[in-house]
Amino acid sequence: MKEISEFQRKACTIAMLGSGGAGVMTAAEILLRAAGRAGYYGLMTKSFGPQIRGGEAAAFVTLSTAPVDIQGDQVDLLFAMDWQNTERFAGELHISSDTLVISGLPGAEPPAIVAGHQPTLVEVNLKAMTRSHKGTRPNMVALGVVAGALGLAQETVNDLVNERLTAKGEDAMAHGTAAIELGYGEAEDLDFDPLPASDGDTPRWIISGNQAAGYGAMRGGVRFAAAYPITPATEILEWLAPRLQKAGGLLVQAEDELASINMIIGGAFGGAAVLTATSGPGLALMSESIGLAVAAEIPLLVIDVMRGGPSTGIPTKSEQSDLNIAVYGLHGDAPHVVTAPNSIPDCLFTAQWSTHLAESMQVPVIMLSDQSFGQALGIVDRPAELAFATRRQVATTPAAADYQRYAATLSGVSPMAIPGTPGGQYIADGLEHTETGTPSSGVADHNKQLEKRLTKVVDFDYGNHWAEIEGSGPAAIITWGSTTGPVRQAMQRIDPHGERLRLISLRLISPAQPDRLAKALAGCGRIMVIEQSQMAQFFGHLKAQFDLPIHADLYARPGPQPFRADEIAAKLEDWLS
Amino acid sequence: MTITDVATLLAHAHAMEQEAAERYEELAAQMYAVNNSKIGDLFTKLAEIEAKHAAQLSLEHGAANLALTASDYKWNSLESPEAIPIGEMHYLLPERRAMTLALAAEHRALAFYERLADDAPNEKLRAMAAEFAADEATHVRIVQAWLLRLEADVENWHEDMDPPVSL
Amino acid sequence: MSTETACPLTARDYKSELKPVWCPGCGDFSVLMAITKALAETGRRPEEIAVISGIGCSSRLPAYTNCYGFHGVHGRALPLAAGLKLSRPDLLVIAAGGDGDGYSIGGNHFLHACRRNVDLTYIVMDNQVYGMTKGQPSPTTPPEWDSALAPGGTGLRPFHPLVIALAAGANFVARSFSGDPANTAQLVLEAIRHPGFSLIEILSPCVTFRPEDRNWAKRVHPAAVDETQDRARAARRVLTDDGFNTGILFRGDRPPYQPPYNPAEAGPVDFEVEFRP
Repeated sequence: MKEISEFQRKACTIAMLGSGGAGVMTAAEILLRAAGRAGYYGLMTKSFGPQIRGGEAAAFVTLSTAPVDIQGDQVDLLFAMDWQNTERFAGELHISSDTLVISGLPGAEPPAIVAGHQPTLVEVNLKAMTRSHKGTRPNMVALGVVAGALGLAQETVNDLVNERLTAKGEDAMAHGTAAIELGYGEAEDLDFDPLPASDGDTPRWIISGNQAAGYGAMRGGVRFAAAYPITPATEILEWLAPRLQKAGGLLVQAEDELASINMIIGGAFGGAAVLTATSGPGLALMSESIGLAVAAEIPLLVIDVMRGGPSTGIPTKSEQSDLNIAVYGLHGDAPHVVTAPNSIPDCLFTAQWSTHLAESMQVPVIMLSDQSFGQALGIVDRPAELAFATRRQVATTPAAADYQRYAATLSGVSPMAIPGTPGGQYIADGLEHTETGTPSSGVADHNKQLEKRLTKVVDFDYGNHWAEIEGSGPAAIITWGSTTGPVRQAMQRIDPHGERLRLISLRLISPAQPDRLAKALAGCGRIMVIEQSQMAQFFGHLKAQFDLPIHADLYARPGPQPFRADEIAAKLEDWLS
Repeated sequence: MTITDVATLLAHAHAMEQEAAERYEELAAQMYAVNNSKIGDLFTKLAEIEAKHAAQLSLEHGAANLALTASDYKWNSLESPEAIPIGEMHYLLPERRAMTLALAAEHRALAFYERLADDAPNEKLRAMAAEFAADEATHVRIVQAWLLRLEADVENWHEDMDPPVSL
Repeated sequence: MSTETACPLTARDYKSELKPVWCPGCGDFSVLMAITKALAETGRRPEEIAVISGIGCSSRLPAYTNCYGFHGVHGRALPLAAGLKLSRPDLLVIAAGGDGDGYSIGGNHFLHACRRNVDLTYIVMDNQVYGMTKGQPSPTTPPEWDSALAPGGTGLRPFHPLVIALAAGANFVARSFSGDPANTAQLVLEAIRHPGFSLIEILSPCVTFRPEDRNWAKRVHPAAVDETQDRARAARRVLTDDGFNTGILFRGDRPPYQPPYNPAEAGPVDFEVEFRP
């Protein structure tokens, strides 16, 4: 069990707003990278209007000297390039009287969701500055203002701007650094506490959850992928496509999710470690064929980057509401594995682990990531190198006469003959079958194969990876996925030494590990389950499959609004008192 | 039909007997699969007879040493004439009807050789074709005699009171 | 990858021990025979071949071969076959199935398989009916055909798979008749040898639900003209023929879709540099 780290040192949350090509995302990403180079941890999330181009956009960046799981409770520094449609961000943009609001559009009235909290308002005339310095861009000036206010080294920011503009030539680079200079000049007059000193140049990574998932799967051995574009999973595919090519693999864009799942089933049957990535609607389309992979014992990884549902729902925002379809959505008795990462770096670990599980057990694994860290960019500690030893059991020299593809072994896992292997010919079948693979509707065969498929998944040793456990207090919080971050932050605030609370974040959602959970709950007198689902899908799953030893309380609400630490902290204080 | 040499004729004769034997085996398996073992047994017997013919052919004229591909065969029907077309099968196939199909197969074989004999460009080929035609004529008479011994099939042999099964 | 053997393999070597459970008289028996004959001619060993199917009477075919096989879900044989071929270009991959599986539930995959042009051979045994579920109309059933599910007929114009395949980009299009196994075997062989996506539509009567189609034997005839490499011409011919023209109707020259597998010049660890802030 990990000790809860010290109360998070002062974090700073910055928001940058703008519309119609203002370039706030580029500015915010450079800010994040500069902070990363300066030794800070960070997190950047984005919020958009519905337009493909020209819409209003908000970038949120939280920087700290301690790891950052979620955005801060409120915005400390807001830079608005303009105020167009800022109301859209009500519920996401938390302003207080402590917030320093910098408006880049002098004379424009901030909307009520900002002005109503009476923040300190400062104006910077972006238009005048960029006019008097030909070639400079407003967003780069804004970046200079913000970076200057935070006390980041101007050189670091200049380096990043130059790297970004190299392709555009010397002039563009000169204009870029000139704009930064203008911004830093403006920042000198601001009354804002700079970031506390950082650890210096500890090597960190800047990575999104989706990139981490793609990279983790690749480290796990995935070399063949097929998929259909869907928000918010597409970045996994876009990250993988060119890199798989370089690594001797391939990603194919399929005509739909029915095709993508079947393409990877074909690829896995051929011997490759495979994945597809999708979101709720795509997972729904794939479910029949995931059942096929269960029956035919085909290893594969399906990454579901969850978004608000049902139906098309809210493609750009998070919700933990695909648990039921992932765990219970297959027809028939279809044992399979469902995993869930609990942070951006854990997307890497869990994807790699999930590939290992799929290959080791010859079973489909559904990994439930979600939009909130899938599309968030984090500055994180460099993830540990790790390798899992077990791989797919392969029949290398089967004797044609008695090779049994679906032999009911003790572990339930039977060596798989890969096409091309003489003597190993068999028919992978979605029909129930005998041990050799011949279709059978017989009672004994069905029972034997059901037992085999359940045994291999239930008896597998998942080790310590099944959950993340922090703190050792008598009141346990059971949660999963992206709710883990806010809970962790809340616990650090109200119980910095882990004496009152205990966090149990499940990484293995299914098959259920009731014995392990019971052990993890030893000494607990109270349980609270926290999740982001209106119908409390996780709570229902725990009650049905985990045999909770004592009464459990529940805090569940739907997305798309992310949980914040203050919201959970208040809830927990109330619960504990 | 353009068979103009003995080697090609012999290749056809071997293929005809061989394919007839294989087809009967195949049809027997079909019949056993639908629990029509009476006709399964009948086809098994016919398969053995055709296999004997094939063996006899080798004994008398040597093995076929000309390797023909599927499209090189010049049959007077879509398949080798002595093979009962698969499309003629029925799961309730009765005995007399089965033998009628066998008779038709022998007739096709006979017609094949008769025509070859008529069209033969030389005496050697004509003589061999005529010899094979005579053999087939014998088979026709044997099957005809066999048919005479059989009772008529029941009139509604193909009717089934039960509906097909849905899988 | 092809291994020449001292003793050439025969059709029998490509058949499994399992006896088909099709209705006696079914055209699929002949198609199976034709496929195994064609496979013997390819010189590829059974373990280098994979036969992929979906669901339906004809989709039972893989189990009757001695090759690797996959009997998947209804309508999805083509993407599964494509995934296998793309990940294992060394294998000879055949997809097989019926008209309902390929043209109805699998219709979108059919279009995109033609368009994608992966080097596959797709053998459709078209009997114009759903046999496995007791005789419902399929996309190729004539409009007036009476059945329990569509009393009085569907009234719908039948799907025209060959012209659709041509329009969608199939690289080889042929039609055959199950009752003509020698030519069918020859066409299957040609289709296998032709690079890219090859479609062979084999008229294969259902003796149980459409016994009237036994007379197809009298209706089929070899295409009156030679095969063409002109897609538009092929499409016009196929659109205007009587549906019983057999032979190779189109032979194209589109290069197959097979992205090259680069030798692994990078391992995952080489991408870590991208994650520096």
